[in-house]
Amino acid sequence: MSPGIKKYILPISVPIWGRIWRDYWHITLICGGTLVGFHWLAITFLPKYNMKYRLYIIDNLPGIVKAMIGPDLMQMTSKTSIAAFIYLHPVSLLILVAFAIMMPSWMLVGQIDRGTVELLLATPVSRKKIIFTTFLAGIVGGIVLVASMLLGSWIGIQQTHLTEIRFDRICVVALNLYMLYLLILSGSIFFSAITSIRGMAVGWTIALGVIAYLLHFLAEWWTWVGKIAFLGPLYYFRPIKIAAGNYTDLPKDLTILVAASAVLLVISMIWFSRRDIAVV
Amino acid sequence: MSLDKNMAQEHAIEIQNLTKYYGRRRGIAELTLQVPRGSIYGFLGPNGAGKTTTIRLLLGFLKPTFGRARVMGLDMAKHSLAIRSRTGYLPGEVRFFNHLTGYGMLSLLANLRGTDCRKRAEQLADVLDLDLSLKIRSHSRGMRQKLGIIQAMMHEPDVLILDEPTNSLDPLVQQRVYHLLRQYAARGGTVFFSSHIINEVERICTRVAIIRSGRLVADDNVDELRAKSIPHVMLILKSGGSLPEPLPEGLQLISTEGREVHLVSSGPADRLIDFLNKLPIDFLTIEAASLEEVFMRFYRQEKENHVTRD
Repeated sequence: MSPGIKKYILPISVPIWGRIWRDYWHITLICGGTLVGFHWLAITFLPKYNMKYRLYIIDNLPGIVKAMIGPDLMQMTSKTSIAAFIYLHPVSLLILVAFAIMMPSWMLVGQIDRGTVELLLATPVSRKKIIFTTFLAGIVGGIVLVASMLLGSWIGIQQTHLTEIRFDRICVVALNLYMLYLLILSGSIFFSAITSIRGMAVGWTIALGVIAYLLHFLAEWWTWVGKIAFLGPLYYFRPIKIAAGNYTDLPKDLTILVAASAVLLVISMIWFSRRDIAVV
Repeated sequence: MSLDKNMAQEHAIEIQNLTKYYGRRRGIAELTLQVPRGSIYGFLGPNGAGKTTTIRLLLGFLKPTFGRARVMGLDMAKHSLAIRSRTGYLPGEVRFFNHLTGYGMLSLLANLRGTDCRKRAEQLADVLDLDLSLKIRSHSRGMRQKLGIIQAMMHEPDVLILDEPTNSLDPLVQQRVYHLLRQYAARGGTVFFSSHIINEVERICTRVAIIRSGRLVADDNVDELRAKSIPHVMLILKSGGSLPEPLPEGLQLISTEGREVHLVSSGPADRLIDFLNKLPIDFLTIEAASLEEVFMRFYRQEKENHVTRD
């Protein structure tokens, strides 16, 4: 394919793709490595967890952890569900969320902030392509991170010989987490597309993340918050239920997460293409 | 350079009623101008006049409130990508990825353009005496400006849009840049040269537009613009000599200091010569006004209009 044709057919800009990975490969590797190590380590503690004392342990979990697990807490009845809980652990979530927020904001609004966007926009690369390339890099980054979690879990399972852990269900949990990641990624792209200050884009995404978490958290105590909990993305991430093997709403949840992510991406593309971009 | 010799359009850039408001604040208002192909077109104005806004509108960074512009016959709103592929741009304050070398930055931009311009980039670096193997973070401001000029010219664009191109460059390098631009224009390229430095516009540009408070106040050939200006007369009278009173129509006394008299003449040349013939003069100079005086005249007029309006 000639470069001329490739320029118009490919939905991504190869030089921007290359630029992103030259700057982000080491961060991706460090995050991935940390996640492999953390999940491996967490699984190796599982044999020490005595199911007999499950209720006692659950009762004594800190409130914040209970709220994080949400309404599915009492379904933590097997080692598979406890292995799935590792995907809800703040270490896993923070690394994933930080990656989803920092990478697009660096690539999009960060360029406006640093002033390098003027040279980029002076080249014949469409703004839609810039957004889509960033999104695709985020998709690949997310795959690496979630795959690292699975790798860590798998190594741990092999090492501890915990054959009762259903790795197939852990994979579905990882898929659910990945879809949640895509939504956060799209949210970050959205705020990076509409603002001109990186801190603002990051701040808005984090603020919405905190609101979503609070919604999930408060739904445990207030019935009326529980009624609107479906508005928060965490409502569609149910690792414990998936691990229990009795969750029938999974396809619906995945569809909602993907659809919301696609809508945000399209809005971001349109907004970014039409907005004024001026470096101060 | 992909210039077609049989091009129908004679203007590289055409701007019609281009207007940009930032909320209630006016960026530029009803700007209309044409930049002839193959010219070095000065775009002159004080800071904040709307020069950068105009450039950003031309390149599609900003969306106009109304009005339109065409670059190489292509509509700014519909063919922004095609325009950018045929344009080289140097921002007013050029910023790069500091962790890259000059080579790295130029090859990234060349890849984004889908062209291989390494050879031309190296030639330009030789002319401007820039070491491309150094990391940009170690570059001085002048070196960054040189790199900015190289990236704007390396793909041999049809139109060069330069925002304050000689910022931070020493006089020797400035001369080299002027030479490069003259060569480029001689090959058929068009330069849109935005600056607030009148002397360099006067030195290099064939045509100049003056913008003030977002509005165009003049657009003419540099020589014609100067010709429209009022000649400045300095004479030293013989001892005992004096100026007649009142002065003939079209002559205005600026100052007298002893025997030295400064006048400006806005009337016909023969009237001035008749007047000078009758005077006892020891020494006389008549100078065409510099572009700076022309510029200041437009500037004052605009200011007076503002005061009158208020």
